[in-house]
Amino acid sequence: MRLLGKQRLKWVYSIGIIALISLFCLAPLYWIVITSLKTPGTEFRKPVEYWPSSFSLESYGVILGPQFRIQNAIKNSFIVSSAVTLGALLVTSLSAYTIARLRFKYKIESLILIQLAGMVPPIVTIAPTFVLIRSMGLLQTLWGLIIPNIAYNIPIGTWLMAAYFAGLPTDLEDAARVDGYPPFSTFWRVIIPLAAPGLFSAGVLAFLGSWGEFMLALTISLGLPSAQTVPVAILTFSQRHELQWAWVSAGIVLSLLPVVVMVLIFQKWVIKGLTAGAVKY
Amino acid sequence: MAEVRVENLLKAFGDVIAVNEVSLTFEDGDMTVLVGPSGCGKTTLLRSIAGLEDVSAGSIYIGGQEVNRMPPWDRNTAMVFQSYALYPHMTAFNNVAFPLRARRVERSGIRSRVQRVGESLGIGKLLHRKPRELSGGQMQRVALGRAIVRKPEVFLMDEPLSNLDAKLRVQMRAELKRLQKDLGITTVYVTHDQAEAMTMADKLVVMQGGRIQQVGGPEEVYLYPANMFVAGFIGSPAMNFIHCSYHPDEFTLRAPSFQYPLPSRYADSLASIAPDQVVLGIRPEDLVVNLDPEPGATLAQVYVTEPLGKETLLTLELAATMVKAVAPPQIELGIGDEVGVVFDDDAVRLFDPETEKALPAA
Repeated sequence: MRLLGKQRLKWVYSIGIIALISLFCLAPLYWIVITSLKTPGTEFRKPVEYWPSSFSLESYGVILGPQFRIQNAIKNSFIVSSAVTLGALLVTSLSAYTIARLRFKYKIESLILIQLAGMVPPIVTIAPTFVLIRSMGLLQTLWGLIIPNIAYNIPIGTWLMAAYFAGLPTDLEDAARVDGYPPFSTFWRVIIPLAAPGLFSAGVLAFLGSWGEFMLALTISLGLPSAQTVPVAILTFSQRHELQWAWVSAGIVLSLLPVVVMVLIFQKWVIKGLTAGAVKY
Repeated sequence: MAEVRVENLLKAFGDVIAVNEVSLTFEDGDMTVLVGPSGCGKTTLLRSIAGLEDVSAGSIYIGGQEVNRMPPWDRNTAMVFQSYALYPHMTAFNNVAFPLRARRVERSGIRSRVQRVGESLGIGKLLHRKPRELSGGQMQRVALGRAIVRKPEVFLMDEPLSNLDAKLRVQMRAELKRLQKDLGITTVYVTHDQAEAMTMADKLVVMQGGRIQQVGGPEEVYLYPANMFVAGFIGSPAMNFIHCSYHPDEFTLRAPSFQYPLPSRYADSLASIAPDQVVLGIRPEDLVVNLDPEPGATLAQVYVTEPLGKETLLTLELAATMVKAVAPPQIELGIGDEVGVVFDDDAVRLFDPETEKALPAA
C-alpha cells in the first residue's frame, strides 16, 4: 500500500511539473489568441478579461484588409521558407552524404568545422552578412533572405542527414554501382528515396526555422514592404499604428497558423529530426 | 560469358593484407567457389573483381581485358549479395528492371525481359510486391532475377544462401547450380559453408589468411587435401589428426597406446624427408568400428555417441586424442565402451607437423 501511494505521488508530481511547464509555454499563445478576438481598444480593460466578454473578428478584417494586407507578408514568408527548405536540403544532403559515405582526410574535422559554424549566433555575423548581401545587390529582395537562411540551416541539416545516411546499408549502394549506376545516379535514385524520412525532418526544421527568423529579415528588408516576411511586417504594423494590440495579435495568430498546422501534421518528423542520434562516421 | 583472371592480386586495408598476391583463373562458364573461414579474403577478392574495392597491386582481367581502372558500373558483372540488397522503395519488378534502365533498354523490352525472368524463377506473380512483402526465398529469387536479366559476362555471388533457413538453403543450392549450368555464365561464388562449396563447385578454391591453400575439383580437394588446414576445413565432420612419432626401421607410426604400420605408397617421401614426427589424417567415415575387436587390434574408448538418424557419430578416445568415427545407425554403444578401430589404408593421409603440408604419396 505504501508503495502504491509513493507511485501515485510520483505520478501526481510528474503531471504537476509537466502541467506547470506547459502552462508557462502556452500561456503567451493563449493570451495572443484571445487578444486577437477582442474588440480593438478593449485589450487592457480592467478587470483583466482572461476570457473575452465578447468576441470580435474585426482585427482579422483589418489585418487582411487593404491597410495592412498581411497576406503579402505571409506569401513572402512562404516563398522564403520554401526556397530555404529546398536549398538547404540540396546542400545538406550532398554535404552529409560526403561525410557519411566517402573516405577522405579530415572528414571528422570537416564535420566539426561545420558544426562550429552553426554555434556562432547569427547576431554575431549579421553585419558581415549585410555587407555581403549588399555587395551581391540583393538588399531588399527575398533572395537576400533565402541565401543566408540556407547557410544557417547547413550545420543542423548536415548533422541530421549525415546520421541518417550513415545508418543506411552500404550494400544498396554497392548493388547500384554493380547494376550500372555511377555515384551521383546512385545517390539520386537509391539514397535520396531511402533517406526521405530524414530529408523530411530536415526540411520541416528548415521551414520552421526560416519562417520565424526575424533579425536577418529586418536587416535585409530595410523597411520595404514587398521584401518583408511576417515577423517584420507585424513589427512594422505595430510601429505604424499606435500599438493596436488586437491587430498585432491577429497578425501574429495568422502568421503562426501555417506553422502550427505544419507542426501538428509533421510532428513525428520534427521529433525524429531533433532526436537524431550519434552514429559512427 | 568470359574468363576471369587475377594476377598477383594484393589488397591491403592499412596494415592488414586481406588478399595476398593471389593468382587465379576462373574458367569461362564454370562455377568457381571460393571457400574459407571468415576473414580469409574471399569476399575481398570477389569485391575486387566487381570493382567495389580498389586493388593495392596486381591485375584483374575479364574476358581478356584488364579492368583495374574500370569502375564497377562499366564491368558487365552482376552481383548477388548476402543480404540480397534489394532496393526497399522499389517493387520486385523495378528491382529486376533497375540494371536494364541503367543501360537505357526501351520500356517494352524491359517489361518482357523482366516478366520472362520472373516466370523462370517462379516469382512472376510477385513482381508487384515490395521486398518487405516477400519471404527470404522470394527475395533471393528477385536478387537472382536482377543479376540474370542483364545477361552479364560474370556472376558474382557473395554467400547468397546464408540468410535462408537450412531446408530452403539445400533446395536453393540445387536450383542455383542448375540455373548456372543452364545459363553457362562464368560464376564466382563465395561461401564459408564447406558443404555448400562441395556441392556447388566445378572448381574449389580454399583460402585462408588472404592466400590460396588449394585449387581443384571438389573430390580432389576432399580426397587429396594439400595441407592440414584444407583437410580440416573441408568435410564434416572434419578429418581426424593423430600426432605420431615416425619409426623408420619398422615403417610405423606410434602414439600413446597406438601403432600404425604405414602403407607402402609413402615409402619414398618418408625416406627422403625422414621426419621424427608425422601427423596422421583420417576422415571419420574411413574409420571402421568393431564391437568385437580381434586380438592386437587398435582399441579406442567411446567418449560420446551422437545418433543422427542415418548414422551415428562417435567420439572416441584413441592414442590420447579425440577422434570422430561414423558408425551405422543401429549400433548400440555406451560411454566408456571399448571398441576396435580399423583404418582404411587407402584413405590415410600424412602431413608434416611443421609445415602442415601433405606428404606426397606414390
